[in-house]
Amino acid sequence: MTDIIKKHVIAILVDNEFGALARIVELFSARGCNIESLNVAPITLDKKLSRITITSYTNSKTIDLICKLLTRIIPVYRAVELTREKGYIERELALVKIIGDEEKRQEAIKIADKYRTHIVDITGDSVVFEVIGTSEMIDEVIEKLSLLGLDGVSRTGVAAGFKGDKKLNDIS
Amino acid sequence: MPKNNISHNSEKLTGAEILIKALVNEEVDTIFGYPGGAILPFYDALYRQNRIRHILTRHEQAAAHAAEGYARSTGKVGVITVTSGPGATNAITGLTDAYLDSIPLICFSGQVATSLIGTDGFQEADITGLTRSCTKHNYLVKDVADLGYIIHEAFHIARSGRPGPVLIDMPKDVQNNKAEYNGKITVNRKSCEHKPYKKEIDRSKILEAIKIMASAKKPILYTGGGVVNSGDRASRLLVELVHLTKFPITNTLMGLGAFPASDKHFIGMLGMHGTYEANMAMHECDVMINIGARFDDRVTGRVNAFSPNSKKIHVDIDDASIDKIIKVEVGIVGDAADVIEMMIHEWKAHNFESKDNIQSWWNQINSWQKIDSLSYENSTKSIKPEFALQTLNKNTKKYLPFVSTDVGQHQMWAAQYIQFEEPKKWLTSGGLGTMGYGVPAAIGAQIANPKSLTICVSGDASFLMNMQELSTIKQYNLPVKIFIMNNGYMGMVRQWQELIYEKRESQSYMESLPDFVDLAKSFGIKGMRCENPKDLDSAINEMINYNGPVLFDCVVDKSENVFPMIPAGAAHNEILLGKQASQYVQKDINAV
Repeated sequence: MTDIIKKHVIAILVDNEFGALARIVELFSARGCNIESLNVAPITLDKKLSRITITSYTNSKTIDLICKLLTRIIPVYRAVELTREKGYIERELALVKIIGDEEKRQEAIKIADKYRTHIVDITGDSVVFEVIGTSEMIDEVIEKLSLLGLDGVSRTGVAAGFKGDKKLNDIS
Repeated sequence: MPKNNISHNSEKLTGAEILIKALVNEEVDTIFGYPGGAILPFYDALYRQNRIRHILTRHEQAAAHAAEGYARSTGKVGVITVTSGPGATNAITGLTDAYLDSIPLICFSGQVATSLIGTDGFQEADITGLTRSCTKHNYLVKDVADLGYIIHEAFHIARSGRPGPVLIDMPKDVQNNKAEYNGKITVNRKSCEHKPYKKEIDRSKILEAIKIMASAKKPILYTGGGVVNSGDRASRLLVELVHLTKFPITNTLMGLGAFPASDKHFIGMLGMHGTYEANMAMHECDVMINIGARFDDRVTGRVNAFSPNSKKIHVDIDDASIDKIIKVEVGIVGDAADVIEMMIHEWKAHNFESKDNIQSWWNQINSWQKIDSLSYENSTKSIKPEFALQTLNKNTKKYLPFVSTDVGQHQMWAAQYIQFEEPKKWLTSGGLGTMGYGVPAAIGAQIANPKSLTICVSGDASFLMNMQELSTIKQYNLPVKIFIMNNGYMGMVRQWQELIYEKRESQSYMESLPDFVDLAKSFGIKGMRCENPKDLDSAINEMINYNGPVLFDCVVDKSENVFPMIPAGAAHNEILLGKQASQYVQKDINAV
């Protein structure tokens, strides 16, 4: 069914220049599509090419059209929905801060230990964890820490790709 | 931005001078525009040269529409120059119009100096932000050294693939600063090479399409503006394809003229106000070949009832149009002329012949044609609008005139009753439906084709939206004939109110209309009025034969409606003829 709303992750290769991101984002907003997460960074040494990864919850039909329209944007090379492909992998990083008494901090560290986390900083009553995983896993960690003095969260948004030798250019 | 081999000896030019040189290098000889503070350096450079002719319109919106008329009637890129802030925002309607109808246009806008950008400077507007969604691409030039390349890239973008408008915002200091200009440069932007239309046309899909076409018992060709945009070669090849296959053909509003209206294979325009036979054929066909059209809602009617039993082939240069509205069996991305040429080649190579098996389909179409869906009840007392346009067509078609329209009932009647034998003669705002398009578009076409008869069919309400352009017409003594179908209403609004809103004519009556003859006189233009059907022939001939512009007030029946009509949200086979108007049933209150 094309009408089911689900998570779609799109990768876009684009010239690193001003205005390009605005054009891309406007394609979503003009269709009433919210962008759940977005990241952008140059991926070549000369910094001329950037990769943008966008997560949006909508139906497949809208995503299909958006991908085609994205390709129409002059500085865009490719726009591909990754989530529908075999071998899809994703990671997100979050910095999660806890402020609490000794007991809560210990409890938080115990929970965090079960996930792939590092402690980035301990200052006074605060602990900052670095959490890396799928978006769903990060949601889970945050939920578990929410009663232990959760004070702040900063997430990078999804970075995504494929297992093995599959490339963006392999997808028609 | 790529820098080119800068030779240190070369003479430095101001940004404004670079713009002039680059326009000349792009073979631009005419631009449309309106000066103002932030674009003054360019206007000064313009004053000091003699290669480019500037047409001063009286409003920036009109400059954009005039450039559209110029572009549409010649196949060249239209160019406008406007100042910052209100000058640029006024042009936005024209840019959006060009975006929807795929017209190649370049808008150069002045901007406050780079140091002032973002400070709410006088006449500052974030025009690249404002036009992002109505241009193919736009630029804010921050360094004069980039200007030359940007201009040539912009021309490339405007005319390549699916054409469209591009805006270049030039801060005042960029126009004044100096840089070397290295002439016309080949565009080397890599991302442009990745666009789907750049790929070779998929021959296997052509073969697939041809096989479906050869097996058709009830085929129809449905062609649109893409054929016109592709150029005269596409129209010639389309005629060849039709004569080879003997398939019936219908055109969209934007596609009129791409196939000669007098050819017996042409069954009229399709869509909301298309002919009965065209719409019935679309509904009943078993194979539909769409070339350069985009399944617009004015064409499809209710999507889930659209041509339910046909295999569909869609040829479009824009891959985003394929499967956007209607799922098709074969989607071919490519230029109309190239694809049609390949189709003809393969059709011949496979020795497919137009078989007798479509004869019964033609018999069916002929029986629909006998219904004569464009017939109407004529009158000896008042001028029926259909009669007015039939009379106009009868008296002008031998001149193969350019015809522009505004938007509304008169536009639909013009599309129904004026016969176009050639592409690029029909200038209308199809996608955006912009009232006020007609007069400036006719100006642009007349400037580009000074010897050709150019007629603007307008309505009383539409005409008022850009009537200041009478002043432009007078200044350049353009022999444009403006034919106002004056029914004292916003006719199409009134028609919908009559049919859907129980005749509650909310705000659609045009009170306090000017006396159009006196109005023309005040601009120094010949004004004429005709109210009696028996005088119409001679009045129209007087208009055509007059050596100069004419504003013709054709007073028509106030309450005539445009038929046939597919109610919004209805299917093609639910089309209503004039005498069935009382059976109008609203299908979908939200359909527009």
